[in-house]
Amino acid sequence: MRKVWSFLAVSVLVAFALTGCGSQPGQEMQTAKAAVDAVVADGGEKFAPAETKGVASALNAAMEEVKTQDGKFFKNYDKAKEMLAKAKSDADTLKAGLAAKKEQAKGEATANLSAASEAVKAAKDALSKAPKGKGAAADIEAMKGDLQGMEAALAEVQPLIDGQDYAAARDKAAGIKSKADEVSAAVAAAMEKMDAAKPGKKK
Amino acid sequence: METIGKKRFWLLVLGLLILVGCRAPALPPEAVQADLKQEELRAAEAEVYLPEAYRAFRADLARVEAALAAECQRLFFLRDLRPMRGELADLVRRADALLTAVKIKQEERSHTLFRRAEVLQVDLDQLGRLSALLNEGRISRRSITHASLLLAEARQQLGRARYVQAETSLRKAETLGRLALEPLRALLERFIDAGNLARWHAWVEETIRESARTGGYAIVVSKINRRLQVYRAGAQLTAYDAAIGLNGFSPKQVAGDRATPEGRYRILKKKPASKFYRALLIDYPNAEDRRRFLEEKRRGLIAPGAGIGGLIEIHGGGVAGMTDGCVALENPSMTELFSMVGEGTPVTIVGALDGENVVARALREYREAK
Repeated sequence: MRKVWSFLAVSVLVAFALTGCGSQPGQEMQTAKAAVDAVVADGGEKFAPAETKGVASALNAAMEEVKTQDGKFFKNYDKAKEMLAKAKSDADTLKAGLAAKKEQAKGEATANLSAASEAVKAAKDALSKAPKGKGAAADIEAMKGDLQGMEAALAEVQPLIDGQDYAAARDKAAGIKSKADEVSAAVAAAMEKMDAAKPGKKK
Repeated sequence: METIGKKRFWLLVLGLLILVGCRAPALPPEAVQADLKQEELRAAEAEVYLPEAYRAFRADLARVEAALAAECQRLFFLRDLRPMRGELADLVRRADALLTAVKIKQEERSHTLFRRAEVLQVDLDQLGRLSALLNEGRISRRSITHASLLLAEARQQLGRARYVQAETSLRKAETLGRLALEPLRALLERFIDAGNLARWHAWVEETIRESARTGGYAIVVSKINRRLQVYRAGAQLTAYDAAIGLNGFSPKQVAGDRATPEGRYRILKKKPASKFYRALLIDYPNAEDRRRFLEEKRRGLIAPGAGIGGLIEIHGGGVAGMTDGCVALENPSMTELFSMVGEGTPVTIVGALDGENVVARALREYREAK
């Protein structure tokens, strides 16, 4: 009776030793993979490309370690488990920070769009007050053309924001603002020049 | 053994085997790596660069994953994941090769796109200069400005290695560049057209010959150079900078088109007091202008109610701006000219004096850049 129970106990221990202690960290692999997938699904590539690549590389390195241990007779997955835990933890941290990064990028893009719209409006206002002498007509018409081009470009910014392409929207809006400011500055300079040229005015 | 009974013993062994055998197998690391590679390929836009190879890779991965899932359903001791693991390892290697190929394609595309961006930048700069030269800002600057903004966007996308988006922006910018050129083309080509150049050259030669024959003064205005030359006895005496109409580079067709006429005229009247300092009224429209006007009207090129216009002058007021069709000089230049010439003095206005004009050079540069 005792022999039989001893035999069974040893069998169970051997079975668990084979399938338990020396088994692949399947659960850890699954959760680490899920954490990395969640980062990608949340737009990690768009808002934190380098970090996203980093966690994917860490997961890949952990898989290499698992494969190394798979090839050994006496398997020890401790290091792989550590690597997987680290990859998961980094991915979770990254995912948690993504929303803030996304919000920040969106905020910057929206602010730049708003600033660009204001700058174009200001340039249009300045142009409408520009001296209307026939000498200036060509310049005014050219600047009006510039502003129309800017307005056309401005209309392309919101779709970029809607498509979550915040970096492109931010830079595009900044470019438009810069051009609109140039027009305002040119109009201001022309008006200043005209004021200075008026008789009786000190230069 | 006999104490617990053979039957009970084998039941225990079977239970143990089922316990171990039904355990869900761990995900093979190669499967995770293959998934990561697929994600990497997607992020690298492999679908764009190597669509067929990428789709084949995805299909193979899906097939192996399905086979793996089916194999995992089997009992532990019947399960053999080795063939799938082998195939997945092959797929990882295949993905690496694909990624290398995608990178090469990306580099090629990047090079092409950077080159296209450079060419477009040159084009837009040139178009901007031509537009300013012809004073046609209102019809082309919208497109030029929009194209410049799209080009800047394309450059930023290139900097972020987002080649597909960069190409989209670049394509739009190139289209706008072509749109900007179209309205300028008709105007520009007048100044390199051999027929126009020959006609203008003949007018100038006849004017100078007349000055030589009579020993009197003659005025020649080159619209493209914005210069007014004064001849006396067939020799150039002096020259002044001049401004022309807002649409000065177009031939004058109708009243109010703000174009400066081209032709052989004479001073009709000297106006010592003018809104624009001093003025010399010329005899536009002359007989040739009237004939052309009627002909164009007959052909429907001019609106039935349009007039031919008039009151074209050479006047003061400065050269900084554009006129309604007159030729304007700086006031000191106007003082000199006014004192020299009298009524009846020939005034010849041409588009260009010769084929080596600024538009011809600009167009040549533009075409060379293309």
